[in-house]
Amino acid sequence: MQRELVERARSGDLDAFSDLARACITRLYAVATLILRDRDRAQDAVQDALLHAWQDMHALRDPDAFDAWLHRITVRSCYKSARKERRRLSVEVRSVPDPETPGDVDPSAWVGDRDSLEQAIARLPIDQRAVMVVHYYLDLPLSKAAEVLDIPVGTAKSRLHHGLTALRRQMREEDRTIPKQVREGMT
Amino acid sequence: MNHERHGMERDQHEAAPAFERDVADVFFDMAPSHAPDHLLQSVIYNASRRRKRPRWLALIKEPPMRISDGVAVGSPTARILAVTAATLLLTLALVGAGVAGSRLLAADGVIIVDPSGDGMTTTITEAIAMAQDGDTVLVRPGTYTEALRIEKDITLRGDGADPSDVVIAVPADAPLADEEHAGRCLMGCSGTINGKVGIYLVETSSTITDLMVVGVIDGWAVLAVGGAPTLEDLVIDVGGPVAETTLTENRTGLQIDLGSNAVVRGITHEGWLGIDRGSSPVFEENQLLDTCVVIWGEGTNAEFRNNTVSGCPNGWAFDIGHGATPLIEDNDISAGGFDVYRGTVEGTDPVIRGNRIHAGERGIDIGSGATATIEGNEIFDVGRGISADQTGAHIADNDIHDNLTGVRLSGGEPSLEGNRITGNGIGLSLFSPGEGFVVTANTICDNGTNLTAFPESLEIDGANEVCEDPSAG
Repeated sequence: MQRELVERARSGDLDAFSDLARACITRLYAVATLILRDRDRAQDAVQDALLHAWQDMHALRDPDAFDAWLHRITVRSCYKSARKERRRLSVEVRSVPDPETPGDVDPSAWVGDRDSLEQAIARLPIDQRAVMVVHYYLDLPLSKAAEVLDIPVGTAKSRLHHGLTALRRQMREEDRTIPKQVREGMT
Repeated sequence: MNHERHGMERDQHEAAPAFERDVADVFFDMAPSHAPDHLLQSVIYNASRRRKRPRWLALIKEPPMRISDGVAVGSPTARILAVTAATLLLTLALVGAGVAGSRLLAADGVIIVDPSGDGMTTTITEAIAMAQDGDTVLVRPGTYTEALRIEKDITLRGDGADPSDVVIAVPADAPLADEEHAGRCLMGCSGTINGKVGIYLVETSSTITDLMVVGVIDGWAVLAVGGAPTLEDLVIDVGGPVAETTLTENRTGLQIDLGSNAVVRGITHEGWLGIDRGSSPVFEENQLLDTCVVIWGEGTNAEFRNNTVSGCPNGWAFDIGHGATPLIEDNDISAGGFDVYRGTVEGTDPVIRGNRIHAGERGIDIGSGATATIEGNEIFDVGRGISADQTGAHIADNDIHDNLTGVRLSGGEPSLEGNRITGNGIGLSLFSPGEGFVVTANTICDNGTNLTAFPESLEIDGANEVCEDPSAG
């Protein structure tokens, strides 16, 4: 079914492309949101990716590779968005402290390891987070994840390893940072 | 939670170590469960505007021919017509292939360049030759040692994860620009000079994106003359600028010239950057690092917004003269500010607004014969914040602090209004301004010396707040 839609879309059938987009847009939006940590920018990235896909459908040689190809375009679009955001931040808000940097510990903010892990993931470099999103959320083996990310498998493994190491380290540090009374309250 | 969609996949992580399972679970929990409705609508709407369905597809979806039309599907006549049409098409295809075979490969609008031979061509030059207006040349990762000339309206796009994955290395023997496109010497020489060109955009509305252009040549890495090209997400690196460029050491990265209305967005640039002779490009959100920007010429109305500009070794980041009237707004500019001057023709009159200008010899210098509107900038950590010499510049609502000298007005009839001048070695220095000068509603406090004036009898109106000098106390 999807193969037929892809072939029709390659021939310029907008209805077929719309069906494909409808089927995958939630997944792409989730991937972009997880990588970018910003729903507005994720929407822009997904739209950008789908429009590029529509325009470059002819570049897709194997219709069965549509999903992987679309994931690759989406991840690339996320990187592009992140680069633009870095540029914007460097111009506009260089004096604004990182809102994700923990300041004084607020006991009410500590609601459990899950939230801490979520925050730690948000602090990872985008390269490491992207590997995790593709590997864990899309559930692709690292060899396929590397193809989506357009990097060698070794690089994907390395980024995943460093990302997990950073998460473990941050979780250990946060555990030490949590005030005693809060830590006791969590148990 | 998005577990329903990926429930099976999630189970596969059960075999992973506990910590990795936790990480995977967090991703599923963080993922939105659905995309906003308007996102899909927007995609479909924009897709419908970007490319029309091919005409042949529309034809085969038309209602089938009826018997009364004289030809029935499946009839001998229809078969004869079908065979005739097929023969005709085959003949046309063969003839077309003989005349321009490579063009047939580009008929779908996307021409893939792959250095491994896995595309339609291995060189960008060949792909551009094959392309027609509206086509996309998609360049797979690799290094291409080529000089390109684009006179069509196409999209040239790198297909890497990062612009640096697709490198165009400008060859040392790149061809010279056409004589009529020879450019003005930017610095250290005079008159019109010609040079080699890496990517030559001639009267085109093409889009060039996701590429890296490198190479030091005696000329321009990228030259746009006329037209309205879009340059987006490029890296142009010619090794940064030299103190004074000459024909034999001309590290010009990008030159927008001869009435070009280019849009330049999201590029990273190192080297000289020239805008000249009636061009009106828009520069937005670029990283112009180790870059000296030169804006010259009557009718040159360049707009710079939200860029980072730094590292010019000549004491300024923007050199504006020869009648140029650009708008420079909301940029971060360091290691050199503005040199604004008359040049060969009158009319130099930039608007410099809302910028953050810091570090370096000067903030904004306006020389004799030029004027400028300078509003709402923050200027700090420079030698001289604003200097207006024999001009009628309008300087308003700026925050000028922590410089060696805040503002120096010399001759001319400038207006200085509503500025905050604090923490400088000298706050305001007035040197024989013309009779029509205006200094009003400024705050001039906490400077080493708040106000110096020559002649000493010179007075400014009482609407200013001028604090006593620390030494006076």
